[in-house]
Amino acid sequence: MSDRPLSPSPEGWESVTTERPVVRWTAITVALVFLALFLLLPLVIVFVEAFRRGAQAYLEAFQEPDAQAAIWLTLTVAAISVPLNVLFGLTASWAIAKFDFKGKSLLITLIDLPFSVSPVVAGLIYVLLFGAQGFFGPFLSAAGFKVIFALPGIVLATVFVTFPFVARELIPLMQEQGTSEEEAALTLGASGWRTFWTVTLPNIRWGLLYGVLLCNARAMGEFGAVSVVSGHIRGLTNTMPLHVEILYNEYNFVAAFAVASLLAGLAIFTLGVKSFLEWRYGDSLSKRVSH
Amino acid sequence: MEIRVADVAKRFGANAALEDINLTVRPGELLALLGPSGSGKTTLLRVIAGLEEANQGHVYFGGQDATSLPVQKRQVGFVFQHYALFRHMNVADNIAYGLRARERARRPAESEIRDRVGKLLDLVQLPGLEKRFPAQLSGGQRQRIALARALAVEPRVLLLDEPFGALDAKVRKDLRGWLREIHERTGQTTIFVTHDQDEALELADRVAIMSQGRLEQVGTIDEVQDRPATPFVMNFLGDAVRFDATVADGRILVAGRPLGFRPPQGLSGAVDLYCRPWHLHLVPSEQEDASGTITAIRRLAGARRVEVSGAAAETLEIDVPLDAPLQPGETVHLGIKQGFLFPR
Repeated sequence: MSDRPLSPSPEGWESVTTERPVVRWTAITVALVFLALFLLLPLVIVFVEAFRRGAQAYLEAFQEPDAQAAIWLTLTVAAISVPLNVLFGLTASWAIAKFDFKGKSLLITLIDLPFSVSPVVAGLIYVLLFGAQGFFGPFLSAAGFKVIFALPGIVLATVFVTFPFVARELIPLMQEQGTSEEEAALTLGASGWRTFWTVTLPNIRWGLLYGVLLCNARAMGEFGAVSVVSGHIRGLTNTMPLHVEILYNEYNFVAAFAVASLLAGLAIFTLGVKSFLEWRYGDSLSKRVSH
Repeated sequence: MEIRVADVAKRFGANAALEDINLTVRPGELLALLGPSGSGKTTLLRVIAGLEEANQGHVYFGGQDATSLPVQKRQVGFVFQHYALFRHMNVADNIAYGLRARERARRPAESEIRDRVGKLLDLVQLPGLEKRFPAQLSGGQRQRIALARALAVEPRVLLLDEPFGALDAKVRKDLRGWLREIHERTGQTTIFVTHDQDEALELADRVAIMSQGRLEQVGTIDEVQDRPATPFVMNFLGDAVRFDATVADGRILVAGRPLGFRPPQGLSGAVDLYCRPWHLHLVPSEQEDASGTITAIRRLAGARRVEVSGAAAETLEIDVPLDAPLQPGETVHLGIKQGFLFPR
């Protein structure tokens, strides 16, 4: 930097952390090009392909019974697995943030497990447990209860893949808030139940909503784990992502991209609400960068 | 209401947080639990509140055994160091929380609740703030609201955990006087925790001094100042200097020379003599009880503070008149007018 003057530049002192303009602009350009190439372009193509034969053909793709069945199945799976994970997330983060117990760090590690396990493996676990040749298979088929290649299996796989989202969002938030407000409520005579509804839950509501949103997006979009346990029975066990794959493999591009555009729309919606929550309620969300 | 703590002990894992605590708080009294951090004073307060369960011993509220009473049923008002106001509720809802949490039969009507909130806001001198949220209040205001919230349920005892600890010096001083005033007006039995001896001495009727989970002494300000029970109390309440001394034949000897005052009954052999700076004075060399070398002289507002080493067990400081002709390095002769003796 010997060529730089020691006196302040006309714009004033430069911060020591500020790079030279050329470095700055190179970094920004690389990031933007990357983003455009790998995120924006595919997203645009989804919609371009979906509307290639016009709006009529786009809408027709949703009139097909199999497509409707897939949409319904996806909604059903999300409607079951998201509340289950809200319940799990709330209890797990409550336990971790408010009590001390043995095995706490093990529990935190286990909550992260679905992030580190391949979704396909997650699906296979359930096939090995509940499939016809699986551990509980004979017992379940004797009872006339079908788990694999049916709704219960899809829900199980989805719950497994999505269970970190709510818990991971709430744990740091609850840890940061501590227990003194709850203690204050208890000394004022409130029951544990009342304390939860009037003090704990309102304090974490935006964090909870944020977690639910991410959990829902993943629940609806999950492919790998669901693909293993679903069996791909058209009109019965095909979720939207699986349906997209089938249509694509049949060279039915417009229909494939039309259904895909719904999922992309969900992603954009989720992103929008997420950004809004971060902007509006950033203080009451946890400071931690989430997934 | 009289609060009595009997033989209470509390352990966190292998650490004893409280040992052998016996304490009676008189009805209408303002008692300070005073001690350095880690002395167990907050734990004791939380045991009384029911927020912490003692491993041993009993807590009585006016003769009734409250040991197994859950925190909700103890009817205590608890004020936390960091306010713990409900951040999503406005001031009025915060204060009314305890009243609304009551079972239907004991719950006042909404109009009465509103009335009560108004009166409490007057009491804490913050009228008209009903609709504000905690985040819109200063620290001092928050702590006043927290006190109003605790008083709203008409507690049997008011417990304050370092209530002014998070506030700056000026606000702290204002709130002290204000708390004293409220206490005089309501006559509420009050226990408050502090590590600041000035705060305790200024506010409390009596102080309970704690160290390492034990009660060192309980008494009025005069009692703990004039008759400190242990060297810890002596050291904690102000500057203290220790001399090695011996008691023999009804006399106190320091470095072999007898002092001018008598020891208490029943003490003999090697003892520790603790003196306050004002127990020491400068004397001519032939009358000296101890002597040392001046290591430093500092100017205060109306006196000079002289640091002397070699006289007592540690370096000591005494204040002398501005016109005392002293120089660093000089030898000074000290007379010991008074002091407290503790068996070694």
